[in-house]
Amino acid sequence: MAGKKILLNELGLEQKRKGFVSKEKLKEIASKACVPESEAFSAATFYSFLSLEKRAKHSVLVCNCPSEQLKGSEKILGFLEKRLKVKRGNATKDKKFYLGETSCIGLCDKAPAMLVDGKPHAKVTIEKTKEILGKLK
Amino acid sequence: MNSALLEASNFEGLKKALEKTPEEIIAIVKESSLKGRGGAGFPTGLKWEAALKAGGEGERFVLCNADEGEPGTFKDRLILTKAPLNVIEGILIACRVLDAKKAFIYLRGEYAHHRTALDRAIKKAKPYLGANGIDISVVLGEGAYICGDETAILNSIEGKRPEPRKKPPYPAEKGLYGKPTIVNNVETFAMVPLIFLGKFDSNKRLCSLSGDLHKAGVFEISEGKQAGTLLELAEPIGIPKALCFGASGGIIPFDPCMELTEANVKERGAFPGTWSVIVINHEHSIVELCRSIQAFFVHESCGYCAPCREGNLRMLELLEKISKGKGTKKDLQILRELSALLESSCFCALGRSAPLHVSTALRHFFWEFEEKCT
Ligand code: SF4
Ligand code: FES
Repeated sequence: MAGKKILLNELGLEQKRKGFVSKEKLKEIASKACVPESEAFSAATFYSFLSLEKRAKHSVLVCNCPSEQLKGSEKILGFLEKRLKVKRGNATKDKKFYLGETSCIGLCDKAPAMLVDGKPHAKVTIEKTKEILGKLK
Repeated sequence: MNSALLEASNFEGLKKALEKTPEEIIAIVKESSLKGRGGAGFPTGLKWEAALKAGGEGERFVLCNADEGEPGTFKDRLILTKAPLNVIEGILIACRVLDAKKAFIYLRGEYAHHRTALDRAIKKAKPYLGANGIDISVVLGEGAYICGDETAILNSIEGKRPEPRKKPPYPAEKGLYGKPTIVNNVETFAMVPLIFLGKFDSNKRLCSLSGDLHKAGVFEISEGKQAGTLLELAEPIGIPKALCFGASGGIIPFDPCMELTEANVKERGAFPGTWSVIVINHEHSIVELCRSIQAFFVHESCGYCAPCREGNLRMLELLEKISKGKGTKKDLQILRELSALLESSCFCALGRSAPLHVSTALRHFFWEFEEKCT
């Protein structure tokens, strides 16, 4: 295994760089990691943070696990759906925002919590959400 | 929070351990009664011994499971930020046991922002890494709860689809790339240097408290502490009604006098796992809670085996129906049957523990379901 690249790390880097992993890139990464292309495809399509198609510019993921629902994560999601004019699980028409739900992000003590472009935000309120959205170009 | 469990070892524990032979280390870890803190609670010393005794030539690995994904659990997050060096020391002690030259830390994608603290700790440990020719790599997960399973992680690192593997063989015998591998979670590794400093107390552990509380957070609990005393520290909002042990541990009625022991939780049909306790007060509905946990399992089932893939979906449909007030008594019966089916026939622990919240809720809070059914 010496010198072999870890497939997942390489896929993650590409996702971070480009916002998605293209077919060509997947092939290239698979060969670097010494994994058959089909296997790499099957792995890449498994993870929720990876995508083989271009995703929206910004991702807004609200945790919807039990600890959060007790603390009003639905309100935040509802507000975001209205504000961004998009239902959860979808991207806005202009492909600027993707709004989704996520499983626990380890901030249950500071619920409601969300990940915006991978960055955690805790104890969010509607006011705070507005602020966060405002800062996204 | 202040806890001896988070006290920095500053390489003192590691130094002490490195003076010992692998066999001596295993004997000391066994003696300490340390059990895995990732949920299953397997005795750490025995696991290490199995890996040491596993035959075969060539490489051996140490893997730290930092894929803490159980809803309601965040104690590893605290350890990774407050005492990351203790984790590294624990990993190095395990490397010493196996004479492993390569270790991995599988960090969940949701914790990517804690990577810097971890990298810094690895850098600090450089002298020890260098002296023993050990390399520690961080592998970043990309959002998959199933990767908390010790065999799914193996597949994930190897670049395969992260479905769980059949056990046996256990990772200790055939782990990463088919080689003997010690897999433990963050909290477990962090306890190891404390053992060598004489500061480890197997009666104490970290507990993540969240839900209807003013002061949610990580608390230290010791065997025998009463549930009421613990909750007082976290200042409940309203009157607590139930304790929910993450998504996969089940739901039990809150009894202030109940002593927090694994046996007491099990007696009520639940399983404390990583001791993540979500507190539910009287204003919140148990049916709604179950619906939300069920949606989690539908999302996180890896899809490999039919009972889990299909069964969880059917259970969610029923719970949605019931929560809308459209369920019947017959639906409750089907829910029960499905729970039993999943518990007995799913391929891995995720599927087998997925219905626990429903079976325990039906046992302890049946009237809440009944009330919504015709
Ligand atoms: S029980 Fe669920 S998570 Fe486990 S292998 Fe089957 S489908 Fe995958
Ligand atoms: S349940 Fe939402 S962060 Fe843990």
